[in-house]
Amino acid sequence: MSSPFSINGGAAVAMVGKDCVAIACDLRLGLQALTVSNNFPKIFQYGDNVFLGLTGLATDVSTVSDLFRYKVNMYRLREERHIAPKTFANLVSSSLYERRFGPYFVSPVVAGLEPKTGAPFICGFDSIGCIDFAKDFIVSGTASEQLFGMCESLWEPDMVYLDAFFVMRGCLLIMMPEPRCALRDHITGAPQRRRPRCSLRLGRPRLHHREGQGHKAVAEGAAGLEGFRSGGGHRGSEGTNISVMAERAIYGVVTIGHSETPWSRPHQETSHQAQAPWELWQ
Amino acid sequence: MSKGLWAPRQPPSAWCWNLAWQAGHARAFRLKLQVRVASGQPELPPKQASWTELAKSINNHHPIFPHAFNATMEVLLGITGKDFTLIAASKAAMRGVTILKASDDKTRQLNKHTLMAFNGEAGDTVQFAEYIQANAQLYSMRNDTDLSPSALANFVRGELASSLRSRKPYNVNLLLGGVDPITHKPSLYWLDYLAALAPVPYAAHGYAQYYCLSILDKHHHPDITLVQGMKLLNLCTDELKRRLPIDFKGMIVKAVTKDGIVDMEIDNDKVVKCA
Repeated sequence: MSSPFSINGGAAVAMVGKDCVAIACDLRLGLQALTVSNNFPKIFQYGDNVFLGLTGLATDVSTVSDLFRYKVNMYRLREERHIAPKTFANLVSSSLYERRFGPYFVSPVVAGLEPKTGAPFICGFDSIGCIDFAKDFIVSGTASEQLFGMCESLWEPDMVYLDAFFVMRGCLLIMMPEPRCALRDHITGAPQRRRPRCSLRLGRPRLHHREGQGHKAVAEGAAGLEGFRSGGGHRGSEGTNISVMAERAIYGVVTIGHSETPWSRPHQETSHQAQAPWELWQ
Repeated sequence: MSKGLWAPRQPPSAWCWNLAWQAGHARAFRLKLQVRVASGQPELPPKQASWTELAKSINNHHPIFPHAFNATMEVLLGITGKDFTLIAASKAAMRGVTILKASDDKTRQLNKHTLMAFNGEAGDTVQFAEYIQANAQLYSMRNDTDLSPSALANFVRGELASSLRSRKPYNVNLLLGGVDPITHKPSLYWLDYLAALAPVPYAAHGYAQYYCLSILDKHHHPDITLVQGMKLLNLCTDELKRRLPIDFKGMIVKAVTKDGIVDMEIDNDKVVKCA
């Protein structure tokens, strides 16, 4: 329990489907058994179609994600293109090995689609940068055993992206116990009475449409991304950027589980909370 | 036995001479040590013990309390509401089981709209907080504009994270509360000594977390007014008075609003009986 990898808890999983990838994480930040926050995302975006999941010590999750934001921004300025997942995986590996004898306590997971071919790519790392390439799925974090079990039983080759989403959802929900569990308690790193919201991002196959077609649906997908903190930084607030994104949008974002706090669940009030909770003790 | 056997003067072969050389010397040293111990002589003391090392060893091997005691017993609370952030900190300055001061202010104002509360190792806390305070004020003077609470939180995190991997890290836990000067949105950031940063609607540090977070889970709502926020804070402090084994000498409470930071009145003399 005093291992730096398991102080804060957390889990991430990446999965390959037919011409698509999915990556997901929990949102909990804890101190051993105590839950401090339910709003601590562990997936970061570093390009058009490159995602990095980071589990482990929370301070290093932030430090490493910030470090890669800097490195990838410099790469994009130098090369005038987005970084490819394979390139990014090698960047992660070499950056982690730089700290061979004083490592960052993180277990990264990379998922993305190759820019030229659209081929799915996932891989995982240990804390000093040894790459673990996989054709099927990668798990990491304090719930990795549970995730291994779910992935082994649910994953199958050539899932279309909706199937991949449902398999992913199953994998994440298994980490979370029934609502009767104590609120600020945990077993595997993710559980909680109100299920912590999970963020799940799907890489979708490239849309084969001519220019100017299919804008609407894709633009909606891109608009949905606005609420998420992105590590990429390439997506500005200007309309032009959105439309560029719409032409080549290859991912959607889905939020599953309940949101962080009970009041943002509109029609799910329990009987004793029908009244606003703070009025009870007034 | 000849000395040459233990510490060879000549390397046994060219390709591993360094290893053999060192191994021989290490063996000779171990032998000397065994002789010293066997003959009842004490082991040689380390060459030099610096004051910082000495202080650290005393702190780490305190007979009664670990050095993290202060950090866990001092109370920090933060609550956000509709248009304010409340920050409360206990008034007791402790060293071990002794209370040195009963009117300690564990908060520093970073700029007009941001307040930081801290606990942790004595010395580190005020040093770090005032370093941050000075940098925040320097930024305000240079740029004629204040950093937002989120910008400050990320700055603090960066400083604490780089300190974490230094020779002597700061041992400081922080709550950073503020109201955005432009949008007037209240915000609260939780930072521990490892520099893990989390934006939260309400937060606590130390043992107070175990008592107060469940109360806040039940009763907090993002739309509460300042009056309701103070009531909520009183629920928390009452529980702390009821359950904490030490007297934390009451709380200093400050509210950050769009008009700045104001001191809040709280009844510290209220006696709460445990069942």
